[in-house]
Amino acid sequence: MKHIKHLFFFLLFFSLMGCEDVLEPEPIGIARFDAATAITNVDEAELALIGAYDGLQTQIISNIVQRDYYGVSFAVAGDLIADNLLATTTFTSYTDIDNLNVTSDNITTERIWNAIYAMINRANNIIERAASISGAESIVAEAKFLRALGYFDLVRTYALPPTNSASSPTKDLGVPIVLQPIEGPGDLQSIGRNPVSEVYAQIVADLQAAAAGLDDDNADGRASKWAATALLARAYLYMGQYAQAASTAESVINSGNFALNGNFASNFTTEFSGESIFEIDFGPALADDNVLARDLYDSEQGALQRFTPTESIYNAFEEGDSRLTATLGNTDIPYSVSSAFVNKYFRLSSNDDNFIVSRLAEMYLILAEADAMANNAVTDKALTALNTLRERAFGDATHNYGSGMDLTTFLAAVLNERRTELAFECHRSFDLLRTNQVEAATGGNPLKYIFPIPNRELQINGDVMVQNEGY
Amino acid sequence: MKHLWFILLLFSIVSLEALAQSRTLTGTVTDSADEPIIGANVVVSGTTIGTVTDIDGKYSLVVPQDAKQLVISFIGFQSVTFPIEASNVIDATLKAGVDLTEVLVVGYGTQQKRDITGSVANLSIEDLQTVPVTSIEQGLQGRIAGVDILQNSGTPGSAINVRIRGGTSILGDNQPLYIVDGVPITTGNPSGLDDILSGQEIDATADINANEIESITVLKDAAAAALYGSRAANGVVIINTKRGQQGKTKFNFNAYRGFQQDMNRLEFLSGPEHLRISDIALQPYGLTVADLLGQSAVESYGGIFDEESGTWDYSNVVTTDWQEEVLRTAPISNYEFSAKGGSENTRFYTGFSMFDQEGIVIGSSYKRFNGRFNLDHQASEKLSLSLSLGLSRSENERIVSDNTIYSPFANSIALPTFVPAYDDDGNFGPTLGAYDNPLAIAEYDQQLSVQHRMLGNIAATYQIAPNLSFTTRWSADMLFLKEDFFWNPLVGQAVGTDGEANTSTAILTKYVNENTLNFNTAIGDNQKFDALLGFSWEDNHTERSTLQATGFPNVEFTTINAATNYTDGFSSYTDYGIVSYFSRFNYSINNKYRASFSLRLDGSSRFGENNRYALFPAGSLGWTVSDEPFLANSNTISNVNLRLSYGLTGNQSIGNFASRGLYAAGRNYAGSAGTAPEQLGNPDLTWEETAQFNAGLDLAFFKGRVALTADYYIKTTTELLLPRPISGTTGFTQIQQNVGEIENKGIEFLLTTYNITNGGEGFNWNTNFNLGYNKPVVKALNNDEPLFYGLGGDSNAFIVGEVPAALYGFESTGIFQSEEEIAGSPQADTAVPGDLIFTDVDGDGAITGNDKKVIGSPWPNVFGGITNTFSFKGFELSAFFSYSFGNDLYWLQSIYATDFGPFDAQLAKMANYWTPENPNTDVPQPFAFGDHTRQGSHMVFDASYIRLKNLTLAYNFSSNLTQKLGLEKIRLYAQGQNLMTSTDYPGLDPEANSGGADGTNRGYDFYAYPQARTITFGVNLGF
Repeated sequence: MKHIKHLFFFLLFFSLMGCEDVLEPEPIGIARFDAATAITNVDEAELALIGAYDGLQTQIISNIVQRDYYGVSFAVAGDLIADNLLATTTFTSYTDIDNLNVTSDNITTERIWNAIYAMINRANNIIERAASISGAESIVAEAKFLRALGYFDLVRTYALPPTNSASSPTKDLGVPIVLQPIEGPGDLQSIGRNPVSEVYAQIVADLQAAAAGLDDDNADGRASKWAATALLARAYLYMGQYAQAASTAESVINSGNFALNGNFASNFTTEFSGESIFEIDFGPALADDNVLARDLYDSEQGALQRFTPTESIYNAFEEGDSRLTATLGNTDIPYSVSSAFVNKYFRLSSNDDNFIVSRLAEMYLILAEADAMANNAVTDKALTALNTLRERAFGDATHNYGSGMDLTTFLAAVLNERRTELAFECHRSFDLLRTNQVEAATGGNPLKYIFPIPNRELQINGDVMVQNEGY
Repeated sequence: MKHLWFILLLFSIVSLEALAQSRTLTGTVTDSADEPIIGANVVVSGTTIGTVTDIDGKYSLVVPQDAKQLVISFIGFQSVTFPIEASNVIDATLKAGVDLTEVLVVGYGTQQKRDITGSVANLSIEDLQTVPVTSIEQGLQGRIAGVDILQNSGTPGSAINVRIRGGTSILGDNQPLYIVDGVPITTGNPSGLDDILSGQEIDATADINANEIESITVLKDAAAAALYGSRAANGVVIINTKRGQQGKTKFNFNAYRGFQQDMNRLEFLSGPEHLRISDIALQPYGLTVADLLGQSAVESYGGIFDEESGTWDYSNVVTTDWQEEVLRTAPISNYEFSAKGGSENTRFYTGFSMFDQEGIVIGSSYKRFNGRFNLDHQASEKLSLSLSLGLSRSENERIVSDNTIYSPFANSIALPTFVPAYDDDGNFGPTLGAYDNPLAIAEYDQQLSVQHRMLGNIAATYQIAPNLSFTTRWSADMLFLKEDFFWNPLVGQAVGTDGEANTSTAILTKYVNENTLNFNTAIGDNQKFDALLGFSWEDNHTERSTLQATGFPNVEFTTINAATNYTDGFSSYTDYGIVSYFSRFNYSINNKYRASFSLRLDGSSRFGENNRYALFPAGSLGWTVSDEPFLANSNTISNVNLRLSYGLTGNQSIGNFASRGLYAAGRNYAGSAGTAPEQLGNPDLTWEETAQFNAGLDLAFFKGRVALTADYYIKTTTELLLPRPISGTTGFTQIQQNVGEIENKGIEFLLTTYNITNGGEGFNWNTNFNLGYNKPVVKALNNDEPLFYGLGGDSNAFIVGEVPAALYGFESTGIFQSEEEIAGSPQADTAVPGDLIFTDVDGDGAITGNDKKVIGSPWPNVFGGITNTFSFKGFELSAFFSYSFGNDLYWLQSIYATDFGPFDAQLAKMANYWTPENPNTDVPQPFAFGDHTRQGSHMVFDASYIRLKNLTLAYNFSSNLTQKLGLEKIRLYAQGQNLMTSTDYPGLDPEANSGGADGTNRGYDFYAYPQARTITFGVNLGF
């Protein structure tokens, strides 16, 4: 009997032993690990940086893949607000954007806001935690590029650009600037909007730091020194700082790292072509893909085609412009909304069309516009830049603009060239807004060309968060 | 018939048995008034040797020489056990009354019924015996007051909604804790793929074979349940399986076979009628059906277009009865064999069963094999050992069910009748809009879930001293689930991807160790004290992997290796643990005044470091008033027992790592692996806490022929875990916090009456009636902002002051009869006579999304069941009705089935649409896809029902006959389930619940798979 007693004590001891770590399990599996220790060395910082790039593509919320940033919603927004795309879907959140009928509880505009800030939070985590890790300098620089891209996309979507002349009491309000990672309930407090000028100052500072910290070249899909510089040129253009915009764009053109593709269509048929400066590398896996082809390509080929090009964008192309067939489908018949489709994104079965954020052609267009604006005259440099693209588009110099154009005509020509060259690359509404051409070109209300601050932000932050005039 | 040889073999074994030495006992059984009791049972304890008393109350029984105890019992009287000693005469006087010496299983032990001061209800083996229930929850339905069970659907093997005294949680678990043979088991949905299947989920409790169960006890109040601490807020269901008894080995064979059929069907417009009415309803758009579906499609249905008049002749259009195509009479069968017996020191029970059910919807079936081996061994005077082991395998052939349009059943009540099932060549007919041919889906798609389960524990009890014992119990619950889904490339949801397959494995293991010390003592002559001290830990692991692939060559190749693209893959491993210390103290004076106190300290890995441990105390008082001198001799009142209790329980069912700030992998880019913040941590996160007050009364009258148990409770759950919305600028949109409060208040009654008692061979009738009344209300939410869930995102609302998961939508108050009524109304700009009138809730002069309100409650006011059992000679008739009153059901299929359009089958009542000549109708004027398709009160129906849940007619052959056959018992039975239903609900089944067991969705019917009517015939042999 004694032995049995011993056995019981042994069992009791054993059971007490067993429970020690029952309360301290570690999350394994989808390889989750604690946020506080997520970034402690270069390898982990690199993983987090990849995760920040992933924020450009998809967001996984409650196991549901959402594509609110460049995966589709934001990517088409600029053309949908403006006169390039029609929403041919029953989703009213998109048709309302198309019809400038958005309300502050529009789910798409709310999700774009959340998605961009989620990407920024990923970048903030890296910038904060990797700052002290030696060897991670370029990682921090790339994260700053991504943060700048995020704020640039936010401020141009939710706030009026500095060059816009619309009268609005909320004209100077930008978006809230958050530069620290959010770690717990203690970091939650009401937040309001920073002025537009502060947001742009932050973008310029981040881009300058990124350009300084990055090499001329980087892996496909990753930001290089020139990706940061090209975005900086665009930021200066939006800010109305034309001399810097021109010189910055020119530095990209003259860097020797990029060359215009001989054939315009190669920009989309070839991934990472010689013209591409920063291109988001989408892949076929579920959380790496986009639905650009699904939503924009030909419904006859099985696409959902929730967005269809307008007749107006068809008409914007001149006779003989090679960009027409590369940009739009079914161009050999009279325009009809039921047969027209966007041809830039067509990888329907793999859903992995890349999205080109910046390419060299845009630098020529920035140079043309900014040099003319800076000098208040159609300079040779500006005219040459514009004609470089026309020669590529028409195959020869027969469609080049001659000298002697007045500035207004020239700027209108640049704007139309931007439209035909950069259609469906997320430029149109922002270009109309910053050049004050919204009403002239479309009859729309410029105040409705920017999105409302999401209703939930107003509810959560109270009076600190101010809604845009017009909503 | 292949089982026959087996029975014969057993017969031959039995008949070989030699007669042992024996003696004859005789005696008379009387009641306290000295009247003879006719038909009392006289049985040698632990054996099947027995007889019944004759008309003079006398018996004579031949018993083995070594027989030790005689048990004499009769319905409505307390049973008595006599030692068999030298005398061959044993007379008995039975005391009337409910058998208060009955021992019930409670948390970590057993208690005599009269000693229980909490609210505990039990269901014994007799109540479950030979009822062809496929699961324990089904066996509980309508049997226990305050336990509200919704079948949800007729999907074989699917989860059943169990709410003990209402739901306590919004996002956490609302199902009770299940304890099998002393240890908690894995419950809930183990599937890794159910979110792609939608609708009805599988459930881990479905593995338990109801026929292996000896008893089920439901712990309802805090005093009874608080000993299970952090998991007891939704009540506890304690299940003990059958165990061996000392004595000759007894064999039991039970088999039934039967069939199931649908209970009722929906009526739809005929093909020609549908097209005609849709044309009328499309006129306001200037369209016809042919414009929407295409002229050639309409011609293919049999429509003939007259070019000259420009009109269609639909008279040749087919009318397909899709329900007839998809529903079938489906077999159900169960075979079961068990043996039990044992010697003085070793007792065993073993059983094996095979259950096979086809669903009434083509393509669905459920098969389950169960084996059990329970062993008890007395190793020495002080040491006893036990083993409980259950093994099972289930094969569930599933179909996509509620909530999606890809289900064969949903398509059968959604695809218009004018679409032919087959084309002229005998191939499957065409698709229409979003819908596919349900026959093709059922034929080509495959969804198979195979589950293996091992649930076992070993225990040892050591008697340290006569009044002190120590028990240690070690258990393992292992569940292995393999799922293979294939969606064909030809029709249905995977057409766009050329077919899709998902394969998934899940391994869920739970290890539990419990150690308890039991102490009891008498203090003086009249006081008793007992104490329980315990310590336990529990470790849970879940491993999962899934793989998804697309691009299949055809319907012949269904496994992943045939795919062209691997589109998603996933593998994970997650853990949680609980460590607990618990104690219970019972004290009684004179066996009349009782006090009980229990305390549990639980630590769970799921909670924040700042709140990892919590205390769950409970106390209760009991007073047996009828033992007081002023009632002791009453002839009317035989028992009065008062109970009072209060205590705390918890709910820890949130995500395993909900309190922690997490980074997730899989955030990949450009072919490289990446990580990103996934969740914002909240180290203050803690349990949902339920405080419950219970006052109970047990009454028995007329020598126990009428017994009533009544309970009143208030159950308040605070610290509800809810997501608090936070600014998107943080990179997140929500954080988990303990903020909400829900209250359930209610009354329960259980009335048992022995209406006619004439003993064994005479006519007997008894009735068991139970009723639960529960009133749930949401008391607080995060900033008291409403939360919305359900179909369309807001069919269920949590709003302070309303019931949880309240039905939500527009309120429709009737039909505009004239232009005058419309003028000046909020619908002045849009409505025409015949349109629905909607209430302008916010009074802004227009009907907008802000005009939704609570339009119904998915919770019954009263619910329960009534069972009447009659017996005469060898016949037994038992009729069990379950009922539920006051609950509404949102028939959301109406959004489509009443839209007047050509894309969905239209209910037959749509022909009775409003016209100026036909104003007295609830169907609006024909306007396709009009405002009447808004989710609203016109789709909410009273789903109160009374249902004849079970009717059993059985015949027990007389012992004379059975003994000649060498058998101990022959019972033949026939029974019907769901034979009759009385309800005003116009859909298929008032018990439908497309939201499944989920806490946020309740009370809507969206193409729910209806329950079947089942008729079975069975035989039960004992030998």
